[in-house]
Amino acid sequence: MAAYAELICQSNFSFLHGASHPEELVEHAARLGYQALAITDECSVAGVVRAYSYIQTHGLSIKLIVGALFTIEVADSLTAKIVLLCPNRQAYAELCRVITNSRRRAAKGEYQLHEWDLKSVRHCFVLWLPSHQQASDQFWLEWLKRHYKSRLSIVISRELISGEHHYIEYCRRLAEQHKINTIASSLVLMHSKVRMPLQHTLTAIARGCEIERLGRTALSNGERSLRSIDKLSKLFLPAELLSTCLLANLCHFELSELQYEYPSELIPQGVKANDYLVTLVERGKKIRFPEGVPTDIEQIINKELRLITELGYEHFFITIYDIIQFAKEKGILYQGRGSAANSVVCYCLEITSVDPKQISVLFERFISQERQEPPDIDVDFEHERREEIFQYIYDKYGRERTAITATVITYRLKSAIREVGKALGIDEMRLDFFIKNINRRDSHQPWFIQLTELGLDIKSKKGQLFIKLVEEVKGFPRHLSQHVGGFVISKGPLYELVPVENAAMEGRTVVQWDKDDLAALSLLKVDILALGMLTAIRKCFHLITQHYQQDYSIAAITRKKDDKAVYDMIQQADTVGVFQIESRAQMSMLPRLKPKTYYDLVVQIAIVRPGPIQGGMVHPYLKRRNGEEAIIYPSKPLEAILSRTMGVPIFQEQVIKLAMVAAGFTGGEADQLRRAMGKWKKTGELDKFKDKLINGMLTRGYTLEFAEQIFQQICGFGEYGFPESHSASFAVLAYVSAWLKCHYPAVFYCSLLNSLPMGFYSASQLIQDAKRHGIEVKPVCINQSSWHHYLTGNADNELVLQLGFRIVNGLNQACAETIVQHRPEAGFNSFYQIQQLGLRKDQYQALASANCFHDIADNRYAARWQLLNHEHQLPLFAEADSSHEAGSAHRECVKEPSPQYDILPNDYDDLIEDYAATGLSLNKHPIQLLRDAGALVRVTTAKDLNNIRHKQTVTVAGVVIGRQSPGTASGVTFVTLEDDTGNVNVVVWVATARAQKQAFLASKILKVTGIVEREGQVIHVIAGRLLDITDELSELNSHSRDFH
Amino acid sequence: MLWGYFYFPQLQLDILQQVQSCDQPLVIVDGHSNHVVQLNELAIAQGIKKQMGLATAASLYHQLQVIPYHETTEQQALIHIVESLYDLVADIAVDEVNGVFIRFGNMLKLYKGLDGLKQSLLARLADINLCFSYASAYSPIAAKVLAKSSLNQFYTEEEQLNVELERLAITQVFESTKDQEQLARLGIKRLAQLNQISFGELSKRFSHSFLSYFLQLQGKQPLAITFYQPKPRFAQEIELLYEISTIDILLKPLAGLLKRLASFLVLRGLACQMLTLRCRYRSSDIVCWDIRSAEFCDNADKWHQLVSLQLEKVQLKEPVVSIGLFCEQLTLKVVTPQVLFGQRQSQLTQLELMSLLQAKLGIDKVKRPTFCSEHRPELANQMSTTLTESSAASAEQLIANMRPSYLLATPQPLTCSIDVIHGPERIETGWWQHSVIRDYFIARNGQGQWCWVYREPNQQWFIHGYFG
Repeated sequence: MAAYAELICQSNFSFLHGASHPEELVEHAARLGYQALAITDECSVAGVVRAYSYIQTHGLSIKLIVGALFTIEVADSLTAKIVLLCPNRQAYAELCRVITNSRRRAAKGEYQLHEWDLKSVRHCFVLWLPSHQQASDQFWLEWLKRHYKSRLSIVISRELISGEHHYIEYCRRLAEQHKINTIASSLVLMHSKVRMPLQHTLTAIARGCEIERLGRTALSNGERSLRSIDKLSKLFLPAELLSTCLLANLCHFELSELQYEYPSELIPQGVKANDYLVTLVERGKKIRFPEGVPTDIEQIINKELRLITELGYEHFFITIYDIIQFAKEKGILYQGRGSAANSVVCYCLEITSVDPKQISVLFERFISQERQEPPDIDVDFEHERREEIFQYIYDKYGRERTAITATVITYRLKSAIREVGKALGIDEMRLDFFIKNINRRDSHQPWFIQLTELGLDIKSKKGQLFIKLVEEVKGFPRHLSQHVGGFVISKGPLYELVPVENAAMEGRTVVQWDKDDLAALSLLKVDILALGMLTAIRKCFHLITQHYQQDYSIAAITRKKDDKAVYDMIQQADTVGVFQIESRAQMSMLPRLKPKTYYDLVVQIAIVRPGPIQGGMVHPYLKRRNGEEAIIYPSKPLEAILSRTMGVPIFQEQVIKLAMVAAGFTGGEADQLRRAMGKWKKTGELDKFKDKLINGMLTRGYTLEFAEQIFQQICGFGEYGFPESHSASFAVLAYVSAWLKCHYPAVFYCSLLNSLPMGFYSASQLIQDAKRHGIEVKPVCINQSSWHHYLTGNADNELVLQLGFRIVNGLNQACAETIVQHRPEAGFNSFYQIQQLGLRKDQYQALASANCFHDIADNRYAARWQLLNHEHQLPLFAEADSSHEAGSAHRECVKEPSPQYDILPNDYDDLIEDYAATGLSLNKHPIQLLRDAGALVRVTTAKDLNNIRHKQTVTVAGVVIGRQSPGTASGVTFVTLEDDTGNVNVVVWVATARAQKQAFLASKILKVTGIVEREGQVIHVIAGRLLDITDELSELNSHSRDFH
Repeated sequence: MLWGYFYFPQLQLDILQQVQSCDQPLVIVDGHSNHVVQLNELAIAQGIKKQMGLATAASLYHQLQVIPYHETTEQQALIHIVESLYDLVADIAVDEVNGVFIRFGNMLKLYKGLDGLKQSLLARLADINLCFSYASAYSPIAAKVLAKSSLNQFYTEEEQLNVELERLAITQVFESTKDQEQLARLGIKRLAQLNQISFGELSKRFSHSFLSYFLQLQGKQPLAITFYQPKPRFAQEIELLYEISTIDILLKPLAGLLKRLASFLVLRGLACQMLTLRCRYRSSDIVCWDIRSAEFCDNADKWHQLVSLQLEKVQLKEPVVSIGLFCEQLTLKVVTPQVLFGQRQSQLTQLELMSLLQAKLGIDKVKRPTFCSEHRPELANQMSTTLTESSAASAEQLIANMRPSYLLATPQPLTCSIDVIHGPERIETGWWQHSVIRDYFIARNGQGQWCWVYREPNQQWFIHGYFG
C-alpha cells in the first residue's frame, strides 16, 4: 500500500470552518495509517498543542507537523492561498513571527499578511494553491519561485467538484512548465465525512444565515476529510502521494523542542540562579521564623530547594518574588494561593501567607518529579491596583517578551442551542424560550428531554438534527479571549515561542495558547489575579492608621493568637462582609460548626461547598465535632492524615495522601487521581482508578466497606473539593476581615463600601448591617461628602460614616471632585453658588434626587425644581444674581415652598427617591413603613424570630434580597428576606414554589407564612404560603440577587 | 374642535384569536426588549403581566405559547380599520401607536349630534371584532390619553373632560419615559398638579418637546395629523345597452373601459400589472377574470390585446348585462430612458412577449428556467412563472458549473453503454431535507451525445441530462 502524509488540515481552531477537534484529526489519521499529519489552521497554531498532547498521551505512531494556512492579497486583487510548514525550529520561529505580525496589524480575530512577511521566511516549506485566475497565478508563481526556489510545491487537490479536471490539468501543467514539485492533499476540514452536517452548520453560523440558504457556498460533499490511502491512490498520481511523504520526512520539528527560557536579568551578575534563590529563602526564614526554623520545616525547605534545582524552576520563583517585592514597595496588598500554599519556600519568599506549622503541607501537590508540569502560582492582588502590577510587568519585560495567556471560549449548551437553532431555521423567539427554561443542573432530565416538554418534537427530522448538532458543537472553540490574569514572560521575543495576537482590550496582547497548552509544553505562566477583599483590607489599615495611629498588616494580625471575641462573632454568624463566610450557606453552618481556631476556619471554608456536601462529609464531621459520634481510624497512618478533620476527608490533599498511604499510589498516580476527580463527571475517568484504589486498600488490610466508602466520597467530592492550601490562604483573609469587623467596625464598613463592587452584599445591605452594629451613617451631602466614603467624629468622639458621592447613581467622579475642590470653607449656601460650578444638568439632577442639597433646600423636590431653572444660566440673569450676591450675605435658602410649586415628598416618596438615586435609604426601611401604615399585622420581625419555638407557625415579611437554588439542594430555593431588624432565611420547597409561582418568582416584597425550624441558633422558616405584597409599596426599586 | 380617539391595545392578539382559537396561555413578545407586550386571559391567570420579561413569564408557565411581536401586522390592521370607517367619517387618521384619530367637527351636523355618530362607529367596530377603548376631547392628544385610560365615553362638556383629565396619573398622560421620570422626581404624579404650575415656570425648566406636548394636550397648539387618503383605484362598471353573448362583441364596450383606464393611469403617472374584468350575467351571477401583464402597463391597446388573447377561447354561459373593470394595485410608472444610438430592439420586448404568451396560453403554461444557487440539480434548475428580465448570469453559471443545458425532469435509468469522459463530481448534500448522494460523470453514448449521468451508492446508473 502507498504511504501518505496529509499536509493541509484545518481543525476547529480555524473557527467556524474546521469541523473536528485536533485530537480527532490525529487519531483518525493514525488509524488510517497516515505517516504524518500537518495541522495548518488559518494564521494560527492554537490547535497544535492539543494534537501533540493527544499523540503523546495515546502513543500514536503518527508524526505531527506544525504549519498554518494564509491568504494574501496585494494590489489589483492578486490573491494567493499558501501554507507554511515547519521542518525545523527556525522555521517554527519564522512561522510564529509571521502569524504575530499578521495578527498584530489587524483587528482582533483577523489578520493581514504582507509580502514582507513572506519574504522573511527562509526555512519554512511553502505549499501553493493556484487560484485558476490567470493574472493572479502568473504574478504569484513568479513571486514564489523567486523567493522560495526549492522549498515550493504546488498542491493538487481532489474535492470531486465540478470542473475539477480542468483545474487539475492546469495545476499539473504549471508544475511541469516551471519544474515545481506537486503534492496531493484533501484540504481537510473534518476527520470524517460524517461531520459534514456540522461543517455546514458552522458555515451557516459564520455567514449568519440558515443552512438552506447557503446554496453553493456550502461544501457539495464530504471529500474534504481524511480519506483512506486506498482511495487516495485512485484519486492522485503515485508521484503526488509520494511527494507528501518525502516532504513530511524532511520535517523534524517537534513541539518538545520548545525550550522555555526565563528572563535572566533578575539574577545578580556573577551569581547562579540557585544560589540567589537560596539567599532569598535565607532572608525570608529570618522574617517568617524569627524564633528559628523548626527542624521539620527546615527539612521540608531543603527538600523543596533540591527539587526546584533538579527541575530548573529557580527563575520562576525569583520572577514571582520580584513582582511581589514591587507590590510591597508600592503598598499593594497581595496573597499567593492555590497549590503554592503547600510550599514553605513560597512562604519564606513571602509569596504566600500560610504558616506551614498550621496546615499539613503537601509539596507534591505543588511540584513533583512525576507531575511533569510546571508549578502554578496564583497571586491575588488588590483589585483596584492590579493594573499597576500589569504595567510593571509590561514595563520591565517589554511587550515583546510578555503577553497574557489565552482562554478558549467554547460553545456551551445555551449558545449551542441558539446558534444551531438559528442555522436550522428555528424561530429565535422559540430558541430564547427554550434557553430560558432549561435547567442545566437537572441531572434527571437531559436538556433535550426538557425541551420536548417545551414543544420540541424530537421524533421529527429537524428535532433529531437539532439535538445531534447541538451535542456535536458543544465544546467547539468559538474564539480566543484573554485570561483574567495569566502572564507568560520569556527571555527572548515571545513570538518565537508562540504567536501573539491582539486582545479585545486596547493595549493587551494574548498568546495563542491557553493555560493547558502552556502546561503541556512546560511553559511557565504567572497568574496575576484580583481580589476585592485585599483592597478592602488595605483601606482598613489606612483608616486605622489615620484614626487610631496604629499600623497593622495581615501578618501582624495573624501573628496574634486566635482572638476569642472574633470567633464568638463568627460563631453567631455575624459575618456580613467577612471574606468567604458571609453567604447564606456559610452563615447557616457557622453556628453549628462553631469555629474556634484558625484551622476551624480552614475547615469551615472548605466544607460548605458542593463537593463535601455531595460526598456526605458534612454531617459526619459535625457529629464528631459535637461528640455525637465516635471518631474511629482504621489505621495509624490514616489517623495521621485524617485526625485534624475528625477522620473525615475534606481536602483534596487528604484524598491524595489517602491514595498514597492506604492504597499504595505513587505521588504521580495520586496526582492523576486528583485530575480525574476534577473531570470525572465529564469523562468518567475516575472509574479507571476504582479497582486500583479498592484493591490497594484491601491489600493493606482495610475492609471492603471502608474502601468503597472512600471511593464514594471521592466521587462525591468530584470537581468541587477544595485543596487545603487554598482554603488555608482564604482562611487568613477570612480571619483578618473578621478581626477588623470585630475590633474596628466603622473602619470595616467604610472600607468595604469604598471597595465595591465586591463580596456578596450590596451597599444597602452593608449599611443596614452597619446600622445594626450601632454605626451612625450620615447621608450624602453637598457640603460634607467627598467622592469616597470616609469616617469622621461626632460629638461623642465616636466614628461616624459619612457617605460619599460615589453612592449617587449617575454622578461621575470628575464632577464630585469639582464640587469638593470648589466648596467654600463654610460650605455652599445657595443654589447660585452650586450652579456656578458649571456641571452638566444631569449631574445636578442626580445630586438633587439623592437629596444632597438637604443643607440648602428643605426637600429634594424643591432642590430639583430650583436646579431645573435654566434662567440662572443665562448671562443676563447670572450677572444680576452675582451682583445681588456680592451685595449681601443673603442665603438663598429654598425653605419656603414656591407658590407655583409646593409639592412636598412624604416618607414613601423619600424612600422611593432614595432607592432610585442611591440604591439605599437611611430613612425608614420599607418594611418599617409598611408596619407603620398598619399593613403588617401579626408579622414577626427577624429579631423576634429568636423568640419563636421550633415548629411554631409564624408569618414574616421582608424585601427579597436573594434567591439561591444550589445544585446540591434538589430544587429547594433559599430566599433571604430583609426587614428593618435583620434578615430571615426562608426555605421554599419545589412544590411550594410551583404552586405559588408568581409570588415566588416575581415579588420584591414577600410575606411568608410557614413553620420555624431551629437547630441551635440557626433559624429557618419553611415556607407554606407566599404572598407578594410588592404592590403595597409598589414603586420600590430594589434589586434582588438571584443565584441559579 | 371636538376630537375622538379609538385605542386598540392588542391588535395582533385579537387577529390571531380571530383566525384560530388558543386554549393555552399565550403571550406576544417584543423581540428587541424580550418583554411581554400582549397576552391572553389564560396567561393573565398564570400571573403573567405586560412588560414582564420572557424568562419570568416562561418560569410562571412552562407551556407558554410565545409569538413574536410584528409591528407590520398591527399597522396593516389599523389601515384596514381606517378603511372600514372611512365611509362614516372622512377626517380619520392612523396614530402610530395602535390608535385612530377622528376629527368630529362637521360630522356632528351630518349625524345630528355625537350620539348618532358614536352609534355608527361602535356598530361598525363591533363587526370587526377587536378590543378597543375610546374617548373624546377638545384636542387630539387629550382624546388619546382619555381613550387609553379606558374612559369609553364621548363627552362634549369641557368641564367634565377636564375633571377626567386631571384625575389621570402622569404615566397615563406622558408617553415619554424621560418626561414621566422627570415629573416623578419632582413629585408630580397627577395632571392636576402639573396644571397648578404656570406655563412660565414650566418653560424655564422643561424641554421644548415637553412643552410642545403639554400645549397640544391642552389644545393650545395644533398637532400635525395626516388624514387618511384612500389609495387610488380604478373601478368602473357599465350597464350594457343590450345583452352580449359572445366575447368578440364584448370586447367593443370593453375597449371603451380600457381607454378610460389608460386615461386614468396616464393622468396620474401610474401603471398596473393586473386588471379584474367582472361580468354580470342575466341571472345576476358574476364571473371574473384576472388579466395580467408581465410589465407595468398604461396602454389601452396593449391591455386590449392581452384581454383578447386571454378571453379568446372563453364561452360565455349566459348573456352578459354589465361589465366592470377594476384595478387595485397601481404604482408609479417608471420611465426607461431610450438610447438614441443603441442596439436596435425588436418591436416586442421580452416581457411584452411573455405577457402575450401568458394571456394566450394561461399563466401556468408560460415558464422560464431559472438557476438557483444549489448543489442538487433538481433544485438548482427550476421553472418559474415569475416574469422578470432574464440575465446572462444564469447561462454563465450553467457553463461554469459544467451543467447540461437539458435536464430531465426525472432521471432515467441508464440502459445504454457510455464512455465516461470526465468525473466523478460527487454531490452529497441535502441532509437537512432531501438527501442526495450521487457521483456525476460527463459521458458520451453510442449516438455521440454528451450525457450527464450519475451513479448511486448501490451502483445503479441514471441519466439526468444532455449537453447541447
